[in-house]
Amino acid sequence: MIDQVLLTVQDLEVEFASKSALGRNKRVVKAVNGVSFSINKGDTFGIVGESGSGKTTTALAIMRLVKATKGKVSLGDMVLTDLQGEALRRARRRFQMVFQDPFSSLNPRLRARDIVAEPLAMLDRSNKDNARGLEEVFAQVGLRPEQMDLFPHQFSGGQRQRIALARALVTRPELIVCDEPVSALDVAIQAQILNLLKRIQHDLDVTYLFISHDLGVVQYICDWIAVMYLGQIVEVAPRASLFSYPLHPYTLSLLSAVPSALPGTKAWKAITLKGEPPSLINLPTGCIFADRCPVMQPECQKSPPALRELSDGRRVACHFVEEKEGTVQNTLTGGLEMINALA
Amino acid sequence: MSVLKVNHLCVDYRSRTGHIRLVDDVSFDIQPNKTLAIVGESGCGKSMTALAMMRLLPDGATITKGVITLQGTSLTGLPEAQMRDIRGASMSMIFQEPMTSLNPVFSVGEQIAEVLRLHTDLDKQQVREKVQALIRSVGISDASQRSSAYPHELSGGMRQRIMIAMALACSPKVLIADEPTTAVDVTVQAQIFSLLRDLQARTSTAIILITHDMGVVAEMADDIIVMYAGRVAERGSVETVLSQPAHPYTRGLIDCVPHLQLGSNISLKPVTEIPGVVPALETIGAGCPFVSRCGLSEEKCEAVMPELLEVRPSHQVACWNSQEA
Repeated sequence: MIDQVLLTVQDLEVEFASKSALGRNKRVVKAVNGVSFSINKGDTFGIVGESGSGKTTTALAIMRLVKATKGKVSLGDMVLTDLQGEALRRARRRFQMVFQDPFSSLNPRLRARDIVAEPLAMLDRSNKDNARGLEEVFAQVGLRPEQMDLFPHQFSGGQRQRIALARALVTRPELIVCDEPVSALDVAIQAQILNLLKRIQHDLDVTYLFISHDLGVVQYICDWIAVMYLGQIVEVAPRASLFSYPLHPYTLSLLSAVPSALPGTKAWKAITLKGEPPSLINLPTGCIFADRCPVMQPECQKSPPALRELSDGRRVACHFVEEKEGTVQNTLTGGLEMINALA
Repeated sequence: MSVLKVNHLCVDYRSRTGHIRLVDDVSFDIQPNKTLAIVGESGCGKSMTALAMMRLLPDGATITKGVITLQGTSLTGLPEAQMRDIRGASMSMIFQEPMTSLNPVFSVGEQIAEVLRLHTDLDKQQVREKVQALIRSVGISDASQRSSAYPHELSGGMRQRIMIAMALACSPKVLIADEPTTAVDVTVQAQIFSLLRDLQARTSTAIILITHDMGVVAEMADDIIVMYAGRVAERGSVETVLSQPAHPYTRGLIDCVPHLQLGSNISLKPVTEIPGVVPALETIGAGCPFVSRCGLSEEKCEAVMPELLEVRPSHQVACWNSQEA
């Protein structure tokens, strides 16, 4: 079976105007800067990056919740970025979102039943159909029918995230955008939601765009992963490749910084990056990561590396990635075994 | 020689409906230059234990039993005025969210200076120099400029560094860090940990690290206490507890998180859920508080609370199953 592409994002840009205190000197912040990727049907595509890297803005632009300044987003054969008004409202059935904080994403004045039923208002369906759909979707997310009449404050954090997921599922969407769906939850509860997301994908063949800063979670749930830095993708790779031979020095640093609790497996030290990401307002002329790169070379500050595609479909933006006779490597960082030398 | 000793600490909360025990019979001590991690889910009593040590318990919560001794001085009976001399001087605390624990209307330099003015007799000029030295010591460049910045002008990582600088201003003997990196990115977390390790190596401060992340424990701590429903479920050296967890709750906390694995032969184990949620403290019966979520529970667990007993040298567990095995 040939993989069928569900979502295509091409050269997406999102700009925000930022004014100085007195309203003069209008400056433009490019929160998302030329992002392109595609997701196959039934896959989970992860975006990781630090806060301010543009991962949430990318998700919101795809959801048409912030305005894309440039670029094209298509879901199947429908171009989301072209839709307006009523057509957009109706199309929303096909792509839904789960937000980070289930304490603020649910209306405290509505009962669980009404929260989940709200998106159905977009559909011309009889109330009887809706009622049956509601019960089914409550069961799918592991809630009991009698809980439908409770208010959000009567649920725990994990249960609230189940309600948020039920609200996303109720319109039978093809794509669900999950923005940090477990980071606001207690550790013991995270596993419940992650396993639920997996089970639902298995049962309903839904596609996820999964935004997270937790690399362990991303490794657990995602098939493909994009690493973002300062509004740009610096590396995109299938799971197995990314975690066995990360090619971009930023990916390598990010992976090395994650502490591991499995005794004996943490064979690496953290590469401590200097300083903080530069401001989005004055982007460096060369590679955006050059200032903090542990293996920076003079030419990195001169010209920005293109996001090049390699033979296995992964893409990376670093001058020093070479592909020879079927093997790829970063000639400066080597592979995982070099982490401790760089740390 | 331990710098801080906590003996049979109990914290109760008095409400209209009765007493609830938030912290139940917790004991530990900590040596200089060592790091002790206190681990558990929210509501397990780890933050309450920390606040009790600082004598900063919220209204309604009081220490009803037990003794806290800092370098031979008992803190539990100390008048508030003397306690204020200790807080920020020999014992200080870093909180989870640096944005809400810094005062938004004073510059960060001013807030660090306040600690020095309260606890030392440095003059104005000396205070100014010390503030800048502290800001530099937590890895912030252009200290003179940054000291006049306000909290909102700094990034999350920078604010947490300022909190650390403030906590370390008077070289405390004990530093309590309550989830210090929960609100920051992994790269910033790595920076803050390497900073804390450097500072500890220089000053021999004992660190009490409160966290829910076993990865953080493995990275930073020497010893660990796992708390559940206000009680100690398991304690020991980090090496032993993480490699041979004896309490089902500790096992659960380790297995419920997808741990990042690097390399080409990765087998991703499914994460195991700890079913249910932490029970409301007033509903806990006579038995083990973990019984409702435990896969190994037996009749005995329902009826009798297991005591904290040694399973091997310096490794203690409160579980009927592991003690019989």
